[in-house]
Amino acid sequence: MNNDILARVNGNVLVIGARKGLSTFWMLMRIMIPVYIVVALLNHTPVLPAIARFFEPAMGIWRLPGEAALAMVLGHFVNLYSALAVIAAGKWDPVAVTVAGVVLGVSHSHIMEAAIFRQMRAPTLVLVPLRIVAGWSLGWVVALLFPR
Amino acid sequence: MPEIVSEIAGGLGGLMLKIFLIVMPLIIFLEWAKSQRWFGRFIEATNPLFRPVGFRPQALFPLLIGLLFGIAYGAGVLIPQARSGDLDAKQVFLIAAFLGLCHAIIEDTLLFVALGAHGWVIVVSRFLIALAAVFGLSKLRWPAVNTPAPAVIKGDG
Repeated sequence: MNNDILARVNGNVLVIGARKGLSTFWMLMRIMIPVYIVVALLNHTPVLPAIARFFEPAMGIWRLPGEAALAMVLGHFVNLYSALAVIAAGKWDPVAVTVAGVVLGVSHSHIMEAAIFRQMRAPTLVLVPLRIVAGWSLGWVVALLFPR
Repeated sequence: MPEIVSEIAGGLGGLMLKIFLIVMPLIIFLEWAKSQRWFGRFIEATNPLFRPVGFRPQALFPLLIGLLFGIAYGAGVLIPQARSGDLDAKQVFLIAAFLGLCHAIIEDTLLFVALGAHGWVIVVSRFLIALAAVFGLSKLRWPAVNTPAPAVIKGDG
């Protein structure tokens, strides 16, 4: 009898998990598909390559390609998934993706997550700069770790 | 022109498949783990790791939920706890600082790994910087220990 109850509860948990997984997946796709298509198309125009060339020196400090500037802007102001779509459309090397993962992992979605800090009644004015400084510093250190 | 379309379609399809194969098993696993009796014990068992950097035992549940599931879920656990007086302003600050630097660690990292990143570098560096930051912040005199969390003072909710 107890085994039946446990089985039913566990079965429900898997269904709940699957539903949550699907809605999360759909939420990610709604963001990533349009961004990916736009970036992939722009890569075939002179626009993105020109932007990339302009940001090459700055991004290079973190061993990131010039087009990372776009990923960073999206990651900081929008969310991680739009940045991921830019990276996916660009085909970066593993070191660059790792550094981006570190910087963006720490420092992303500032607009939305500042709102969450406010709901927590946590000091946003301290936490947002902390995340940005920490993210870029940590990313710079990580970039140094990889041999050229 | 058609080559661009098929190139984009192929790339996009591959990306969607990778994301699906990461997100589905992970979220199902986390949902299942949360329903198990050992989950609470697991959270309590992390005390030796988090106590030295300044977290009280009451902070562990919102902290671990935020670390594993994401900042919104951590906030969802933290806010009622703060309102009930279980967490003071300092603990709220430290939890928010940690989660701000390191949340949804499994999901975020796996998504970057899908694109070629070295996963462990991301996990370890984010986790360490979060611990270090909280340790430093815990040494500050502000917020003073045992100051009630602002959610309680302002009497909202």
